[in-house]
Amino acid sequence: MKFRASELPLTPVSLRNTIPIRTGDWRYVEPFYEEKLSPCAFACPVKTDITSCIALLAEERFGEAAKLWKESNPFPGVCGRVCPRFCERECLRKHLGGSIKIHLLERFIGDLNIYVQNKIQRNGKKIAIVGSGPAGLACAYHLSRKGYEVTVFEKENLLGGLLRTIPSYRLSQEIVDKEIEGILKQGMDIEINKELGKDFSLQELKQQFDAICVATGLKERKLNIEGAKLSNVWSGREFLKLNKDIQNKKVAVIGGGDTAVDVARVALRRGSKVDVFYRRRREDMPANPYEVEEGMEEGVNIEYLSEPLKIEKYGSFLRLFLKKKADGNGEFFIDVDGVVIAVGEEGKTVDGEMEDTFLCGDILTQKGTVSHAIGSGKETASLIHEYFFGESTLAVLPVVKPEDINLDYFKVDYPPEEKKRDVSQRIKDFDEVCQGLTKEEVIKEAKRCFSCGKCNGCDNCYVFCPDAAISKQDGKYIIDYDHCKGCGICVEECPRGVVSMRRTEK
Amino acid sequence: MKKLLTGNYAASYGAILSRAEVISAYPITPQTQIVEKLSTMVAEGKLSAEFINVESERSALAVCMGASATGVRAFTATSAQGLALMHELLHWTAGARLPLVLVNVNRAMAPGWTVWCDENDSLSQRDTGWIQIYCESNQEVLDSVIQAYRIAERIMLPVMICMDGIFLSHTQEIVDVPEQEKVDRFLPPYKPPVFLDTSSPHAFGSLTPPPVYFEFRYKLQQAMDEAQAEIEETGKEFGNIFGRNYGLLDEYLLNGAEIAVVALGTVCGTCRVAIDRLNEKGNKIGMLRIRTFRPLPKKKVLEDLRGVKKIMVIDRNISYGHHGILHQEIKSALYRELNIPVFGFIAGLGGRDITPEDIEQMVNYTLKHEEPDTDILWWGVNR
Repeated sequence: MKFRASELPLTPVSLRNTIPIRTGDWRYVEPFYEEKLSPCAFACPVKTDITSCIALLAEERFGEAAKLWKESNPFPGVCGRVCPRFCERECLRKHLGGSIKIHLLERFIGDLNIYVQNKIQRNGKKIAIVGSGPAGLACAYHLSRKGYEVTVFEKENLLGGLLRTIPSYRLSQEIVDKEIEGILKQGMDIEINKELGKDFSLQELKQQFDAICVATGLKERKLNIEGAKLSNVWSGREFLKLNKDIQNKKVAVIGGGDTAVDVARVALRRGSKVDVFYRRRREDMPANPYEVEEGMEEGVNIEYLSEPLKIEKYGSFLRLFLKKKADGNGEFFIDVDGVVIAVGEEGKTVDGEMEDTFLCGDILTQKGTVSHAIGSGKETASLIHEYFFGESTLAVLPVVKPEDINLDYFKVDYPPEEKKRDVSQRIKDFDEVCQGLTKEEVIKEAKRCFSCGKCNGCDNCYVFCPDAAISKQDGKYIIDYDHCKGCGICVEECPRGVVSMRRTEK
Repeated sequence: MKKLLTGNYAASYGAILSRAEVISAYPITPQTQIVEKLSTMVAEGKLSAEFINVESERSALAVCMGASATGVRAFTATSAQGLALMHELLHWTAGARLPLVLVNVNRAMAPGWTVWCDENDSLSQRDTGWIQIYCESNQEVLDSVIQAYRIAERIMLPVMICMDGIFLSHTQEIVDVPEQEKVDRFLPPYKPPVFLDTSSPHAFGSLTPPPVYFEFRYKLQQAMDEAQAEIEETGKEFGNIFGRNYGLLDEYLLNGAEIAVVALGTVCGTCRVAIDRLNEKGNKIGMLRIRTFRPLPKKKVLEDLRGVKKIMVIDRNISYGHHGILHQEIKSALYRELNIPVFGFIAGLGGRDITPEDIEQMVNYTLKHEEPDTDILWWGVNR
């Protein structure tokens, strides 16, 4: 071997390329791409693919974001307003400026009013759904989208169940109407003014349908105290339906759940002074904490650790006797014009266990939120499909852990301010308290999302691979295992936990 | 546009105007402001470059080498211990023929710990294969960084621009900052002859056996030889566009001089003042500033020194166990060509001032002596 200097390159370079040298042999562990469930999606009772939808929002692909959201949840306008935001509690952005305001993004998606098409062929199976609350409708929606012939039975003359009792300062009924319209567009029959046990029985349904789903919810719990049946003593749901002026009256509310808070804020808007009596502490209240806070801003007074004893009639008013739990001798009373008992709900049984009968919503889960009801409806639809066709549509993905996120790639960044109407204005009417985000705010907020567990093509793995063993094809990354030495740099440098490591099979 | 700039900011502007695409450095006094300015500009979106933070100077140079190998323009800056920490990769950069530019702010080596100036840090790196240019003013720093990229990319050797710490780095001068459009005309985008290409992967700098290693070293020395003409041409072309001429060397009143003072760096500015004063009294003193230390323009040095009766070299550095580094370099250039006594002064180590009066006294000593009394003439040391 002899070379003249003039024949040589500037610096020593191998004559042949190094592709035939399969350095991948050195590897005992190897990276692989594995999309994961984000903590928000994992916490979501509906298991919506939140991160993918937010990614579309960030790219201003609003229509696609709305369609993807509605693949999972037909009620984004509703949930964006009333869900207690289980997702935001788990958001990994929490300590870097604050959780993504997912509820506001969801609300934006809902307010776009984009309907998804259902072009699937009918599969010939007929399903009866009893109850048109969020669970029943979600179940009907998903079954229809899977090709079932669905009939929904509702005892009232309006679809929506409990959604119809949510006061409009929280949730405008127009939103409910529009989202139910979107569900009906999937194709289904509706039977209103038909009550189970009165107008038909499960046995009768069984004759006409291949399966039945019962989503009738729970009934209100009663309080067994003296005076509970006096006039001007109402249950929570009764009070909310009551369209009566109670100007300049005093109302006492017993309870600490969403209904109790709704009652208090409605009474306030109707011009009354309101005291809420709850038997446990603030942190024990099952009500949506955001609603409690807004109610208190508006002037709702809450007395904690107060247990009701009896109600007596004193002339034109009612005297409610209570006991402070903290001290043994703390009996007291309050004179009011009306008492509302809103102490939660309890189960009611479905007669007999029957084959081909499924449950969903509160009657099954007793979780008591709209989101859980929708999630349960979706899950039951999947179970019914699995029952008939054996195909499980419930995917199991690993969940992103905080340590999977490489925080070096994210800066502290703050969410937009939540816009609420001024207290002095909002207590005068039933218009919505909270306002949504503008398009620009939505894009900015969506861009704060870490996109946990979902590849967004940031190129870090591609750029950092010291062996150039990662290539891009059609927007996807491909690992060349002939040259990947298993160093794990791509795993470490992936900001969002998409690349995982496994042992190499030898 | 004229600006009041420190030597450090002059270096930053040089890198900005040269459109450096990857910048990586580790902070060290008195260099830090150079890259601080650049990182701020990148962070504010005013400079389209990647600024890569690293944990040491060695990594900084490694990053720049990698960037340069992919065919982009890379920049780094350092000083003293930082440059020493880069030592291994200084060899590698030159051997890999990567045309990157490094600004070294000359600072004495520790211990004792110091942030003040002498040139031992960069002169100790003279055998690494880097082109070394020493500046006398902040304007020259800015201009030299721009020229350095053109030289480096034509010769395919890395260039080190050296400026005296504190004296230049931390004092302000009026500096003419050239227009970007003119700089773009002078310095076209870098088109690498060889670069890392993932579609055709090769091993670079891998095992090179005796039958070829030698030839690569021969080529490196050839490049250094060619660099002399390139530096001159680049300096001239720069002068045509910007009105400021630069060469390998910088001669001051050498024509007809009896004594030539030879030095590099900021002490040359002091020499100009002292020489003016001395010549007013009827002396014939001139100065030869070594702007390009590597490659050492030996022929030009000989031409410039032919005719003088005595040579004084002022070294702000020392090669322990021998004498001043420039002193040695000049003597080797004279070998068998000129038989002139060389007076080797060592002065100003660790940032001690060398005043015009010091220079005048050194010249007076030289005038009075046929030959130096000792190999090293220690100037101002308290024995």
